[in-house]
Amino acid sequence: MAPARLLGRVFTPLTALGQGSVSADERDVRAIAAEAYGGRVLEDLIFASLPRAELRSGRRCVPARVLRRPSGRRDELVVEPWTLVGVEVGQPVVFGDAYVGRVLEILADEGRAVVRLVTQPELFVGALLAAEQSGAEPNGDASNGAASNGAASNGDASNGAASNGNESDAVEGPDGGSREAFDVRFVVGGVAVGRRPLDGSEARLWLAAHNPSRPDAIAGGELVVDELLGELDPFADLSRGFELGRLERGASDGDWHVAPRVDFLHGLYQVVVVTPPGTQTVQPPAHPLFERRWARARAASAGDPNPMRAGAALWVDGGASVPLGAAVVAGGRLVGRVSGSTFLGVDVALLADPGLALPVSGVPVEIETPYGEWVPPHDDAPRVLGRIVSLGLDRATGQVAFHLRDAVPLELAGLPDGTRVRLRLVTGSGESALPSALVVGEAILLTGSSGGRGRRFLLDAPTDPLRGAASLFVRLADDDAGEVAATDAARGRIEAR
Amino acid sequence: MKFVAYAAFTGWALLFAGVCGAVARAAPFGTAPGVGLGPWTPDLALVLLLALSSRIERGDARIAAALLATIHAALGVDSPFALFAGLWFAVEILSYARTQLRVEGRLLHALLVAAVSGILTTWLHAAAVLRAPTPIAPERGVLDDALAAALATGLVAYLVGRLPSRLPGCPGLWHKGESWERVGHVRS
Repeated sequence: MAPARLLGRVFTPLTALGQGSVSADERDVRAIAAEAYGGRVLEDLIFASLPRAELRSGRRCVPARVLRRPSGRRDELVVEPWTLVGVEVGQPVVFGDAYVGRVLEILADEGRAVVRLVTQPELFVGALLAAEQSGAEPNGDASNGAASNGAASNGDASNGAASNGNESDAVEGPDGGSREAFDVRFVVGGVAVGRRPLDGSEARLWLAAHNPSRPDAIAGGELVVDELLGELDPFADLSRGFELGRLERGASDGDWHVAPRVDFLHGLYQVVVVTPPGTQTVQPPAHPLFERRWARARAASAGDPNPMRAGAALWVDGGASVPLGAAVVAGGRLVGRVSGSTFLGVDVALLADPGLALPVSGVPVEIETPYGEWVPPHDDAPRVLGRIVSLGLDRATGQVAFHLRDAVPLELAGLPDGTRVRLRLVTGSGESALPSALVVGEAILLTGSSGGRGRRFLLDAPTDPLRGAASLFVRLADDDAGEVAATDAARGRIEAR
Repeated sequence: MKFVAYAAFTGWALLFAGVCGAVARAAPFGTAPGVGLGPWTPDLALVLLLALSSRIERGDARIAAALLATIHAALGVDSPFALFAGLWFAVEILSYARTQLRVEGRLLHALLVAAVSGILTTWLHAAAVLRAPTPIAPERGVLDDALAAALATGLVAYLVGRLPSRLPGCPGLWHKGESWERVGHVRS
């Protein structure tokens, strides 16, 4: 195959076929890329991963970039914290206000750590459904038929979630009168899988909740971490108060599960290790385009001979080895991922290639008002969207269609479900050689959830990203050194003009 | 001599595959920006291969199919194994057909090329879906794409007739006798 690729370079000038001047759309996209050079997108992504102020007090937050999942272990993450100083095994790992897992191992030589997720069946964490949300009453509740005698069931001494059923609170009942309610404790860990819906959409996944301290809890409340036994979790104070999700009842009595606040499978790009306060913080890492982990590349073919595919062969300078799935950027914008690699070059699946999958975040840019006008949003913090899969070109518009598996609803403060939001899509990390904060394009999505069916949307980005791309860069493996893919913000802005 | 003929075939096939790749994504006819001819792009390299396959030994046709699969794999993202299997199947179909039919007829040859092109498109699509990490349902149905590819490639095969097999260097692979005569000669 290598000789053919070598000869293929003879026909590289054919790439100029059909090229015209750079369109206004492309200039816009380059302007977006220029912003990415400035690192604001990355800062926003990191800021969005921090917990709220109350949960930060008395704690130190060490942001960490998710690099990948260890081979064959979906319930673990390899992360790269900004610093390992003060980071210890067992410390909680969170994303925003949501509890994610614990530090399992520290790889000091590599500056990395391994995190075990709460989806791992062996990781148990004590959880609390507070009295004002639990609805459990000491004298029983006719609505659920569970006679309660006020005594704690306390059936889970093994995990430290011992019941303290004596804690009670006065809450307002459905009839407006005051009634007494109790805290209910659970143990959360592992995954509960729902039935696959008849419409073919994906089966829902929850966090499994076990051993309720009382049988008469009412679904709908928010479970938060509250580990009682310090000998089982020396960092229980650090994890206390972080959210696990909304408690839901399963098909049968005693079958409880938790609707998670994050997409554990495809939505963890940036996490935070919570440590005791006092250790000095460090400067954040540079934007991925400024890291010396890129190799310059040039197009080695005019395009994919199979018109149903969108791919290209690239010649990588220096013959650097490139891992499968590595990002390929042009002008600071993601154009595709490496789908094959030989000693002479790489094959790249472009965004329009059906089946190309990416983890993405969305930065709200505009929202549509009820009057049809587009205005800037009040809340422009990045949202983790999850994994998108290319469906190929939409022949009517020439844009690339994608399918989004939305495990977590898209919510913007103050906006009802069904509101149209224009989002700037940027990559998420968590997969090998695919860094976060690379601009993908823009898309319009509806707020709310698809209910497991997923969503189809069109990506506003150049359909033929290699056209006019003077310099291409391919991401190297995390351990390899290369050159930077960007110069500075000024150059990006010049290119945008 | 044959080595030179194979080299010439490789060069022509590479040129045709490169042109297909460029035309498929260019926008010369006012389609949506960047879309180009899309599935209506004729597979010129396949036209060349099948034009030759109707006139050359079965073993030579297999080698030519392997060369073309290598070229496609080097320029695109399709699986090399799927390409080898698909093009091998294509030349086997034509080799079998020429034992039963007189495939030199322009119309019959074009119909055969169209059928092979449609089957190959469907096969490569199926291989891509099987390799995809996530199940996908592409925007256009595979049958639409296969039909478009078959029509475009078949039309080109009808228009050019035997011309591809007479390109400089290629005649070194084929025999002047017609295919059914060649088959008869081999059988005798």
